[in-house]
Amino acid sequence: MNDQLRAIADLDRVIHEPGRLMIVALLSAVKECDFLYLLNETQLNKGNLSSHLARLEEAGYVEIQKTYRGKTPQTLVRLTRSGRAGFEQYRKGILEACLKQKAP
Amino acid sequence: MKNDSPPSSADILQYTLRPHQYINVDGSGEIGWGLMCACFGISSYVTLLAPSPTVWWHGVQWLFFVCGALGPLLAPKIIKRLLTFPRTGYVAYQNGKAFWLTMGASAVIAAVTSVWVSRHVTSAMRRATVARPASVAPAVGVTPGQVIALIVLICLTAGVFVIYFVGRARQKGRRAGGAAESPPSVAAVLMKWGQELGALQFWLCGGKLQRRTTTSVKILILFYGIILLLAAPILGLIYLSELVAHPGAASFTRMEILALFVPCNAILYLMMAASGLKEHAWKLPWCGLLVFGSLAVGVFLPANFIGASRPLMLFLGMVWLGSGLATLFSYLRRAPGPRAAEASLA
Repeated sequence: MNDQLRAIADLDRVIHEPGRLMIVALLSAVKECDFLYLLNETQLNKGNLSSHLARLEEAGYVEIQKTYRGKTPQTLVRLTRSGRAGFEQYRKGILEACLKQKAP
Repeated sequence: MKNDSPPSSADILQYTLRPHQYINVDGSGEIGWGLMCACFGISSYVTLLAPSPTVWWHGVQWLFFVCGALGPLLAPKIIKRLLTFPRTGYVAYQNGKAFWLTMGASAVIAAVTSVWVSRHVTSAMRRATVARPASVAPAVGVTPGQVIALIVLICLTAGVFVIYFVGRARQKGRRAGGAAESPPSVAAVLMKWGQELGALQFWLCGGKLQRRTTTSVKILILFYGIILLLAAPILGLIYLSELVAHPGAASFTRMEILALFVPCNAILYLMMAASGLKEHAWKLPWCGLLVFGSLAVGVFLPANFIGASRPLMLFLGMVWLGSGLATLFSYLRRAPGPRAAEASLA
């Protein structure tokens, strides 16, 4: 296995999935946001977004809080500390893999 | 990000920058700033045009003043709460160390500027009450040599700034290979600056900048650099027009305030518009209107700078409000309300 493949193989599989990567990338730039915002920005459907969030919650990367805004239910999502660390690690890994690809 | 290809750093970066484009998606920042300028202008006019100095007129004046002071704080919050969040979702930005440091630094700069401006205003008002005809002698004992020296100094600073950034862009191009030989086009440099100004606004709102985009220090230098860059030709232009319009009565205070006030507004406008320039291409000529319109109002009105500030504030307020309302209208057309969305799903 060459260096680039090894670098890709070492990436966090939970974050590496494109749908979850979009969610984590969006959450990394904010304190918290709601389900509707993620739905609009990722263009996933409700079911897919829910299952991705459940997977991320299971891995301890996001925290989900169900509240009410007036009479409307609101689902708030935020990245946990380990989620942020995981994303930073993932970014470094991707960068490393790209650099190894460019290197002769 | 497509499912069939591995994500690149650029893809990830694009998604981390999406929340910053969301800050002004509804034009709420522009509406807030426009309200402030318009209310201050109207408040000033109420004082001037009130038939008699009664308590009632003072109340009206203070009402506009308070609306102006609270406008930039409350208007965006109200718009977001009532219109944006129910339509396209709620976002809370982080208030990290960088945010509080910026707020502290801004408070210090604001305090120093206020003291400096108020000293100028007080001395100018004293001179005005001494009943000296405005067209007889210079309002401030400024010689043409001093003004030219100041313009040269600002131009030199701005020149160094431009050479540094264009040089860096070319260096990056050489490193990346490809189009290394040709210098970056003016449009490309402007686009990059626009992006960085958008990043500055994001950072000021408490967003976390990624290391790959730009550093906080660099964007602050960029911010003040562009103000200086714009201030130099504006100061020159105002000086020349003052020589023509009011020979022998060039007011240095008026020139200084206009030369700083106009670029500050232009930069703020570009900061807010930068993230949505692709969708709202009309904002670039609108920025031109803001700059040249306020210069025309400030320069060609025969009044001292206090008299000129009234129509100037009103004009700026109208321009900001117009832009903000147009953005809000376009956002409301694009994003259906929660009830409309539910109806379409049903």
